[in-house]
Amino acid sequence: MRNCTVTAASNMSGETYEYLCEKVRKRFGDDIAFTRVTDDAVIGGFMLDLNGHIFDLTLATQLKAMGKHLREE
Amino acid sequence: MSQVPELNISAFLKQKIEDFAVAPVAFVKGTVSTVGDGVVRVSGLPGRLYGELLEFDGGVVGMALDLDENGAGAVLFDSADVVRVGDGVRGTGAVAEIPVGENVLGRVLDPIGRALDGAPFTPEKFYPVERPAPSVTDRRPVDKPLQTGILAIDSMIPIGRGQRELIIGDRQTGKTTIAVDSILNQRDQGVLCVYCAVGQKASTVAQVIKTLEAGGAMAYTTVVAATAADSPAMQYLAPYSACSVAEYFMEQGRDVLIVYDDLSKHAVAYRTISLLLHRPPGREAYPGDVFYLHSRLLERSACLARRKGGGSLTALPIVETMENNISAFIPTNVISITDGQIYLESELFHSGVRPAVNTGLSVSRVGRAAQTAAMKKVSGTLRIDLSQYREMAVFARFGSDVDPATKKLLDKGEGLVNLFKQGKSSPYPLSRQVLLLLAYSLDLFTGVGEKAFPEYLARFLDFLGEHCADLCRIIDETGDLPDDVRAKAEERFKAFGAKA
Repeated sequence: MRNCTVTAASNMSGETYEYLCEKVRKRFGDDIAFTRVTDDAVIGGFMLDLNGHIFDLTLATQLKAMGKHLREE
Repeated sequence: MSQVPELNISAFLKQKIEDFAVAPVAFVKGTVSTVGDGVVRVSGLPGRLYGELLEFDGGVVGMALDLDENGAGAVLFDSADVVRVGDGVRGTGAVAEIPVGENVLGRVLDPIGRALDGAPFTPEKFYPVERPAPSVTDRRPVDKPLQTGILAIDSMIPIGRGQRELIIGDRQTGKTTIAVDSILNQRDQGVLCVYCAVGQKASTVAQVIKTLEAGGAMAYTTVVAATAADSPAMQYLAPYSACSVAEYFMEQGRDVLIVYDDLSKHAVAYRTISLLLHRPPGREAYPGDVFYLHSRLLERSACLARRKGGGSLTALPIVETMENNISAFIPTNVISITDGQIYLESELFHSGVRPAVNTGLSVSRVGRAAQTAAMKKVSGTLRIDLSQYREMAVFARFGSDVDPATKKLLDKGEGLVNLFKQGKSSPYPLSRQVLLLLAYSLDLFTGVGEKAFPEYLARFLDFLGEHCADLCRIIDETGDLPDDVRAKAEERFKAFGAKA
């Protein structure tokens, strides 16, 4: 059994969370146990941690990347 | 920074935001398995580079130095207090870098490029901290002198631009003073300077910066500092970072002087890291690659070929010895890597000979070729004169009666020893050095006596300023001592001799 931690802000609905878990199972297999972590610091979006492999689509990270992009020439 | 069109800022920002593509960030996360004394072991995290920067959960940054199939051993740049077992670690895919460019002049940076002087700092360009040394074909022989302004060094142990000259001696013998004076003397020479402090007391570094500021040297100097309070990783990185700062200027065709103060503390920091990483200890508990640690650093000093811009990087590494033991592990290593050494002796220092240069053990292997014609003409016999004087002085101690020839040799030698005594932060320009040595050869300093010497020398220097300014200009501009200038100087010195 593999573990997957889903980190999201408190504004993620239960419906979206279920939809997300379903998509992950479809992509990576059924033997995954999900843990939901609520962290408002991510602002929006979500981050998946599947046995150390991180998939980060949080608003906080995207904003950070955009800030870097704006500073670049 | 981008050029923002004057009146169209919102359109510019909109365009920038439109160009930005939202993409997921995917990476592999490792876990901290042990933490201790600034060194951590990380499990997981495959595919890391040697020297890659790692980011820990608390925002602390470290560097991967030991890679194996199960994880990595890493050193932390900041305090280990906030890193806990079980914390996440991610690789950044980047190696350590330092800001370079004109805007680092006058600044005090830490080895990863953070400004330590409190003023705002916007880095313009970055260079990796570890860079390969210029290849054999990219170099040319050293052919231009680097004037330290210290008479004993410029005349007997001349340093060329692109040379590596070790300053070695016990603690409190004036090693840092020589290096700092050399930096101060570069003010009108067009040489940029980098002072790298490794494992020094913060108060000592502050004092050096104060001296450089007072001498107007910070305008062309960058200080890279990792003090004794910084982590061993920072101390390990400092010389490489400082070298990258200097290399940028060298590659722009500039002449650069870099001071590593000091490499014995650097070796100790590396030993700490290595032992904590469980690498096998060798002689004096240093790891097997401690020679490579310094050779790869000092090989980055070079005199570049004209087609590469013709810049140069002169290094003055400092090594501290214990009880005058220059045959210890680190001193012998660095002596064999460098192109000569300036050996300072505590006995000389305490007997009032400052700078306390032991001329017998000091040597410059390439600098002679780069010496100016003027200096070559007046410095030829100094080493022999000095060694004859020292030998004779030992014998003269046993009896008071000496023949007139020996008495003259002793008096002349004493004059030379006194002439080589030079105060802190008071470098001589080339012309003064040449005229002082010319005066010595004409016996102007013979028999003056140690007590009366400082006052006599001050009078002579005033005399040079008043009556020999034209000759000084010719010597400084041409770097030569033509026969007519020499004859004029000799004539004028006679007038001074008659007055004295």
